[in-house]
Amino acid sequence: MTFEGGSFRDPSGRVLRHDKRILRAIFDGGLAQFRAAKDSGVLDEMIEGGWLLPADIVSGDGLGDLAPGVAQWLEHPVLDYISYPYEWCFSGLKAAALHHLDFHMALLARNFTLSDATAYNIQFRGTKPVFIDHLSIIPYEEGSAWAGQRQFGMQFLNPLYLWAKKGIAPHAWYRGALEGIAPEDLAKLLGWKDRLSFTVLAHIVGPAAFERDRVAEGLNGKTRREVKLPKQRLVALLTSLRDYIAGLALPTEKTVWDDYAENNSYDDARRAAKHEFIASAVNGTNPRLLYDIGCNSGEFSRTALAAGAQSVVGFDFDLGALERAFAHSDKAGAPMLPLWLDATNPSPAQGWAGAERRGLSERADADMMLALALIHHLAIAKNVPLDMAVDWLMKLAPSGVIEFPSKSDPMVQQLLRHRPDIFPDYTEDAFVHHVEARGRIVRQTRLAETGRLIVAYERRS
Amino acid sequence: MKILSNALFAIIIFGILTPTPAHAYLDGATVSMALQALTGAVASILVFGKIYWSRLKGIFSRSKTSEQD
Repeated sequence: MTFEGGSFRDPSGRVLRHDKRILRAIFDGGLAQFRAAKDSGVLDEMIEGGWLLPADIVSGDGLGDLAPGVAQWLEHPVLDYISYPYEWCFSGLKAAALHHLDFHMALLARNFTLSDATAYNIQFRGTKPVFIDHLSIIPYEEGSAWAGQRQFGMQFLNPLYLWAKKGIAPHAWYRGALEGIAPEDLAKLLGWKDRLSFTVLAHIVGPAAFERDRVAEGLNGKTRREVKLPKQRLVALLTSLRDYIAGLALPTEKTVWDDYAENNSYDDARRAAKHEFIASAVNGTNPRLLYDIGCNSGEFSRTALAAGAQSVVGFDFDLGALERAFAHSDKAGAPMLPLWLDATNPSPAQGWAGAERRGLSERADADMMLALALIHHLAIAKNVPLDMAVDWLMKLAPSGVIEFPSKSDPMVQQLLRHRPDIFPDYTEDAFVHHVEARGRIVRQTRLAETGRLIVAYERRS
Repeated sequence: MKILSNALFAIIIFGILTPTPAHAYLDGATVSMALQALTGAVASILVFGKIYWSRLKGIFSRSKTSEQD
């Protein structure tokens, strides 16, 4: 038995995976607060409202042997996929931030509050955020501070601000600094005009100045006079922050793939053939979880869902495409979550002991994957040898679909336009050979007469 | 402006600070209670001001509509 690597910060409880179940151990230190929340009915109310992940009180089944000193066990439904804020698109991070603030205010109205404001406590079901940490809910004490203000800034507000106001996507920074973007770092990027905003002063410049001062004071810090934060002011602070975040939008920037879905080299017949191929491949597999690698705006994820995939996680490098995928999925209420991925540098296992946040490959077991119009970007644009590209893709799921555009394809020609062709091994025959070395091709077709080869494989385990 | 805002916060910071509530496992010293109390007061004025302002506008637009009726 091992606890989840990311659940140790709050000593009131831990999460563990056991027999494909997700269990939460509550220790003596966290029992009183949990009972208070449970007995008041606030937990059930929030679960019913869809704000909070369901939780059942469980006992027996030899649970006592799993971990010593557990005062109470909870069981949660297993989420399809665990994602991290440094993988979310702008709309995803914004939805998570708003969910957090709305949830906090709903709790305050019932005389409870949150002990923290970490973005890792939000997960997605499709594009809908849900709060997952039941032990962050504690009784509210009149006059108490917003304990999570700095955390909220670092993990929600500051990355969103950087993205919306400075046009810099925060992924590299956020992934490198798991705790998020510190206000004292962000403040250095602000001009005087930026500082004319109440939210910037209250939540970025102010906390930055406070932190600098706190560090400078060191151990010689003076004892301060006690101050209280009346509830009405706390609610006002959260409300104004919510209004501000709700108003944040991405600068309209045209990305490389912006009009790809509408304006690429496919004609309608080829597109229809591809949809048909994917539908029949998915239909034969009935995947519970499907990865769509290079999902673009999610066009083929939707085909996979319609053909019977239960949920899809779409990955793409292009943030504009992810925004469109998120919007589509959100509007349809589809179980599809678009996430940012640089396939040549996927999210690693990291944090304390390299185990706090899981790497991409150890996060979930996808039953199927799609890699459409992707492999040439790995093999030619990124110089990944073809066998290594096929190997990586086929390791993602035991079955899947891979599309192979050959060198004569206009999209591949475009990649080769300004560079010598140093890819003699990038051929259709080699591709088929690499797939067959790892599995069986169960179905294949050519999209139009001289078009791309598309194959469905089943991997040898 | 930068000097001004920094000076403003220097005043607040050298003023007052309290530890955060007993339940919290986060380090209470990382948030400034004084800053939250002050900005909370400003936010109250902004947020509730906005609500009252829209109510006020509501009253006037209603009376305007009724005049038209």
